[in-house]
Amino acid sequence: MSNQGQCLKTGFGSQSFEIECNNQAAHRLAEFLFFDFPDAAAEQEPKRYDLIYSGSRPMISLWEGDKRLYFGQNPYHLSVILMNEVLYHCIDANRESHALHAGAVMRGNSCIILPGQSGTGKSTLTAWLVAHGYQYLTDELIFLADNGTVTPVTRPISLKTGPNYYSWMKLQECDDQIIVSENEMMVPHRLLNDTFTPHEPQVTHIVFPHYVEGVAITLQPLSPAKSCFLLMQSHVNARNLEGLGVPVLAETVRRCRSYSLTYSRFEDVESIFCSSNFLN
Amino acid sequence: MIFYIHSNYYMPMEKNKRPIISESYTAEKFEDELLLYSKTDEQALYLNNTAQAVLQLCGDDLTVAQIIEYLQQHYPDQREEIAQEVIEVLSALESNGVITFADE
Repeated sequence: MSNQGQCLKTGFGSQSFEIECNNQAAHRLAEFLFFDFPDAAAEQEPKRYDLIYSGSRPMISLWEGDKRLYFGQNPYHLSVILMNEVLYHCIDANRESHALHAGAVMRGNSCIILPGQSGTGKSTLTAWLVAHGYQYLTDELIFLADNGTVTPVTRPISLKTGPNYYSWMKLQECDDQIIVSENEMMVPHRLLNDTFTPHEPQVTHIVFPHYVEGVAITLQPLSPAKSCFLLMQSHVNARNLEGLGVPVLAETVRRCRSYSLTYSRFEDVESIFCSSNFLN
Repeated sequence: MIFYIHSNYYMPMEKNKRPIISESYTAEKFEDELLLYSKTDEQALYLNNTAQAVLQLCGDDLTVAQIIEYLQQHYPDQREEIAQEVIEVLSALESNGVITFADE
């Protein structure tokens, strides 16, 4: 990510973005969202957006050329739209690696990916793991190379709000650093764990999370075929790739240990992920 | 779209029909399990051991009745279950476009 005047330049893979900001407040928001994005190789014409704050009680708007993508007062809503735009173009432009809808964390030489659709609890589980000693990679999207290397899209963690979350996140003093809406929030991952250096690790564990209120925790080992089958459901650019990317996903799951995790309480999650046995 | 083959439905089936495997599916083999996927309509199916055995026999130019008979001879203590399981698997494979049926 680089800053030239009020224009924030960022990108991922071959796709670059330029976000023209009209003042410092607009630039702070863009920086909040894309602080950990790498600079992109300038292979493709950048996608350009305008992010505009105006007025004393600022009205904010997001534009792509003449097309207005957002107008209102809620930075969270604008952030979701802008982040989704950027992620869409990162995925759409990628013809080489496997875009997977997944959270990812690492500890030591181990890298756990948490594939799942929205609502399975992968962002919340990712945040909890990060708050309990794992290093953050992403809560939303990874690009998996043919050799199993994970390139994470590192962004603020997007979570449903609720009193239980605050208790373990310890964010009470950090309201000015979080973007919130009625039911959701974006949290800078460094608030949960300030140990962060960019990494592109090899995936070692695949955990498919399922949050189900009130259930007892289960961690069920999955065979490579079942893991591959489930992984395909989180594969968002399959049509861009040779053989829908299945041969590479198959090789990856053969190298990894795979599990289905059903949980409701983080006290139970702790007994699994914070014991040394799980990663060994 | 991704489907999971399992045995919870039953459709009537003529047993003198001969299943033919579609060429649009590619197989990815995992030790004793199999994934089938179609590049044209982006479907995938996970096949358990029973489904795999049935699919393999579909490639041997057998009728439904012959597939059932073959498996019943190999698993005589499961004669009763096998007929229904074979039909369930064939129905699921047909409904997902993995096989079609031809007259004998």
